[in-house]
Formats: sequence, structure tokens, C-alpha cells
Amino acid sequence: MVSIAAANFARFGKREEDIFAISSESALPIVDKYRDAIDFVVVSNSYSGEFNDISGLNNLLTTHLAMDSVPSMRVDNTSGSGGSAVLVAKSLVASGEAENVLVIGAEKMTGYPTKRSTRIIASLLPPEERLGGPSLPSLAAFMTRSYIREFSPSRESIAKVAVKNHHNGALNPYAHFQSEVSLEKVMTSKVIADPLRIFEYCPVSDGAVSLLVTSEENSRSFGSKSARITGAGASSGTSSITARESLVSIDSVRESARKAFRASGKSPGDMDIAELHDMASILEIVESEDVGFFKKGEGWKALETGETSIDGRFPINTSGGLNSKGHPIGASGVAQTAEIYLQLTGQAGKRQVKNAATGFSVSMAGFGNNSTSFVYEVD
Amino acid sequence: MELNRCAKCSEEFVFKRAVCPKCGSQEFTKALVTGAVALDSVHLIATPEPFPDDYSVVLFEAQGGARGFCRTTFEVKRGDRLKIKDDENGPVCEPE
Repeated sequence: MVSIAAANFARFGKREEDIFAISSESALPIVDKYRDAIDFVVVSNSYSGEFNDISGLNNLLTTHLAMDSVPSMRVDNTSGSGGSAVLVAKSLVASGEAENVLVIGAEKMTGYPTKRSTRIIASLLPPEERLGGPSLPSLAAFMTRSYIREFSPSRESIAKVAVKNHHNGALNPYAHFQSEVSLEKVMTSKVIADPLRIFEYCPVSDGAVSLLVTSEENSRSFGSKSARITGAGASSGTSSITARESLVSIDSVRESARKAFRASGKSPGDMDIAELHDMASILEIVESEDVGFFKKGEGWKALETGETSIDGRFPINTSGGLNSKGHPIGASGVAQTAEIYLQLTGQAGKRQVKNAATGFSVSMAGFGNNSTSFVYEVD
Repeated sequence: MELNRCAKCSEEFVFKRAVCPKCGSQEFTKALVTGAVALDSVHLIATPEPFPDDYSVVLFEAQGGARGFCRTTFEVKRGDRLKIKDDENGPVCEPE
């Protein structure tokens, strides 16, 4: 069984350092301990060319870490790069191609005008759809409007995703935002794409996080705290948003979760915690339904009852999610795995969920163009 | 604004494809958008380059069922019939 045996963050946020310094800050504590054992490096990164004028980041990073002879690859799958990188690492270990894989998720995105960043990120849309002027945030607004029409949630319940996740982020020393926001502040903040407001979107962030992915046997021999990946599933949908049948459901999320649960032999109801891809507030609600945690159209009710709060029955996005922790694109999916690992091994500090033994994450590319889901367990 | 129409089954879509997802044909023709109706509209403040700073994105459905996006500075409501033309950046629309 493939396991996560270590995780380490470089704080997400607006960082002055370059992508090499941020990446090595996250990787060095693992490299220092396991340097001789690491036999593959997988780098999750999507936009080093566009934001940093860098190509071949994986080899540049292994050289930076004096691991010149260790084979490496860069995985680019837009916002879902991190989940894909963890899947690649898991597959390398499971196949015997590698024994101990260092996964580094990193992105350096700040320093550009918002209009430029928005253009770069929108470049994942089909060219003919881009000409009509949508941004990724505007797609979340379309989803919100459809969801409200179809299921009549209170508008406040959607905004409460931001309140909850900023609360969790304030407990996470690696999060971009380190303070709480009130519902009133969210609901009166600047509209970015009607009806969603600025606190309901993730910020543009720099950041990095590293993992050691290895076998359960190696993890034991290292004496590491470990969490097993007991299920994984990848799924793809159309990249043409306008061709989708529904704007209130994401096929790739639903199908990748179904595959991951089937592989693990567990069900959504068996999970203690989850990390979902909340680029916008509405996405946490829609994904929580598509994964199977709540019935379609009822995920918003959990925000009203507090069920998904960190002290609730089923905490979602204890890390603060993308919404508060930040969304350095290549790092985000890796960070989800890292958060579940820290929670299941009792290393999550002030945001620790008591007795968490099972967890789930879904890393989503584009606006659901594809997704990778994982189920994790500890004994 | 032009659509891509499958030469075999007449399926229409905005997104240019090499293979028709409905019948597998690889032959296409171009067709002008007609009878477009607004499905929804989102007012967007943070806009991407190279577009202006403040506009709405309209999701529309054309007569043959193809869906696409266009920009507008007009108030567009669900169900409005649209006139669509192209400016230097792409399709722009207004209520008929």
C-alpha cells in the first residue's frame, strides 16, 4: 500500500522570494532526512513559463537541491496539477518504478496586475469561448446563479463557506489569510462576478508544499508517521463549459470520487474529514454534493447547521481551503494531501480534528475539466 | 459570430473540433449564429486582458442548440433575444 510519510509547507501568500527559494523551503526538511532514499522527484507546477519565465522547472529544482542525478518530471494539469502529481507519485511507487518519491507542489504567481493573472489563468478555456470574455471567477458566478435558481439556498449559506474557511485558515500558520471574516463583511465586500464577492474567491498566492510518497513498508522502516492512500480515482469531462448539460454539478468530481471510494472499499459516509477545491465558495457546496457527502441541492444546509465546521460532525477544508489558505496553483492539490496527512497523523496543531482516521481530497483542474480524488486512512 | 457545423449530422458548436462528438465526422462548415437567446448573464468587475474593465458575460443558446459566450454593456435578462456581432476582441451582444 502506498503511503504519505512526510509533509512540509512553505507559507502560502505574497512571497518576496523566487520559486526556487519557496520550493526548497518546503522540500529541505524532507530532503535533509531522506536524501539518500529519494529516487524520484515529481514537481507539480502549471505556470512557471507564464509567471516566472522558467521552463524545465523539475530539473532546475533538483539541481537547486543538489539532487542532480535523481530523475524528475514536471506535472502540469492547471489547478489540478497537485492531484495529478500525487497520482503519478503513487503510481511510481505502486509499480515499483520508484521507491521513495519527493513531490514538490509550487507556484509563484504574485507581482502581476490582476488583469494579466486573470488572462493567464483563463488560457485553459477553449479559445473560441475565451473570445466571449469569461474568466474563471465568472464561471463560478454562473454556477452560483444556476444553483440559487434550482435549489433556493439562502445567499448567506453560500457566503458562510468563506466565513468557515477563513476561521480555519486563521488556525493554519501556512495559510495566506490569517484572520477571520464576519458574514457581514463577506456580504458587503466588493462584488467580483455577480453575485460572488471578493472574500468568496481564493486569492492569488505564492507557495509550496512537499510530500514524501513511499511504500507502507519503507514508511515503517523510516520510523515515520504515515497515512495510507487506500483509493484513488481520476476522471475527465469536457473543457467546453458551454457544452455541459448542467452548471450545478461537475461530472469529473463525481466520477473521480466514485472511483476513489470504490478502490478503497469505503463510502462518503465513512470519511472523518475532507479537503475540497473551493476556488469559489459555491464550489465547496457543489463538490460536497457531487462527491456524495450530501444530496444534490442540500450541501448548503451544512453551512447553516455548522456540520462542516472544524468542530462539526464532518469538517471540510480544515486547512482553510483554497479560499483562505490560498491557491498557488501547482501547490494546491499537493497541499490537500498534506493537510489530510497532518490531520490523520495528529500533526495539525490548533486545527487538529480529534480522532480523525479517514480523509478524502479532490483536486480539480480548470473548472472541473478533470479531477483526481483520494481516500486516505490510518490505523 | 460564426459557429462550427458538422457537415454530416449538422450538430453545431462554438468550440472548433477536429472530430464531431456526435457522429465522428471530420468535415465541418461554418455557419452564422442565428436566433440566439440569453440563458444567463454575469456582471464582471475583475476582467481578463485584453478586454475592458467592466462588462457582463452572457451565456447564450443559438437556434440550433449551440451555446457560447458574448460580452455586453447592456442589461440582458434571461430569455432576451440577442443581436451578436464581433468587435476586435470577440463577440459582443445586445438585446434585440
